[in-house]
Amino acid sequence: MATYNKHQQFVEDVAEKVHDLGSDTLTVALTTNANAPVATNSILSDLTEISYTNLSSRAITTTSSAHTTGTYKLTLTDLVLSASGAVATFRMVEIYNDTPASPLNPLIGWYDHGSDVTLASGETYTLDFDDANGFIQIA
Amino acid sequence: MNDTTEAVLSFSKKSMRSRFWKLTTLKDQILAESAPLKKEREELQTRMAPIEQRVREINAEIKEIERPRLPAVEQERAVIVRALSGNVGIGLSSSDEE
Repeated sequence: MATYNKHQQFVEDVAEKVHDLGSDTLTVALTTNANAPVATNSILSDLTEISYTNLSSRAITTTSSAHTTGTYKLTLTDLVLSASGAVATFRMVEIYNDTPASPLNPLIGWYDHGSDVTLASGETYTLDFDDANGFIQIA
Repeated sequence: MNDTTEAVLSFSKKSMRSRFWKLTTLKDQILAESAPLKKEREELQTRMAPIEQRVREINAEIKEIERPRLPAVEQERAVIVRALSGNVGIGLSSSDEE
């Protein structure tokens, strides 16, 4: 998977009870390169998302949320996004928390696919999360 | 220690003690100002406790339903997608079923 980029606000949000990463529903948001996220973005409404018409559910399944000898690791299950028709072009893959109401939909981090992605009907895009190191670690 | 030094230290200790008690008064004033808000927060937290408890119970029930079944399903879907080079078609039709 591409390099992970962190939103600055996320670290404060983790420390101030915004996230329950063991229970909340993390979700994918997609943007174009022109509307790429930046580190200072903090909530979903800071971003300009693509239209999700013809795209399957963007909710991510959490595999595990636990610590080992004091190092917390959040492991996410690979997510297959499938297209039931043409989907708008995207390049940036944002991960945000869909559960909190205040702040609403806080951002976590994003990946740059490196090039534009276009999905035609029947095609898929797989988010292949790191099983060994997890999505994030907190030590 | 000469007389001058002693006088300076004496003055210094006196002024520091004076400053200490001024700061103590200031601290008490600040805490008094925020006290009603802390009381209101405590009352709200008490009222929220049963709801938060229910949210925790629901979270546990969701986990019981989804884990470990959903990760296994998602993982298998991803494996199949790789085997199909990303092209899964647009849904299962009766003629696809074996």
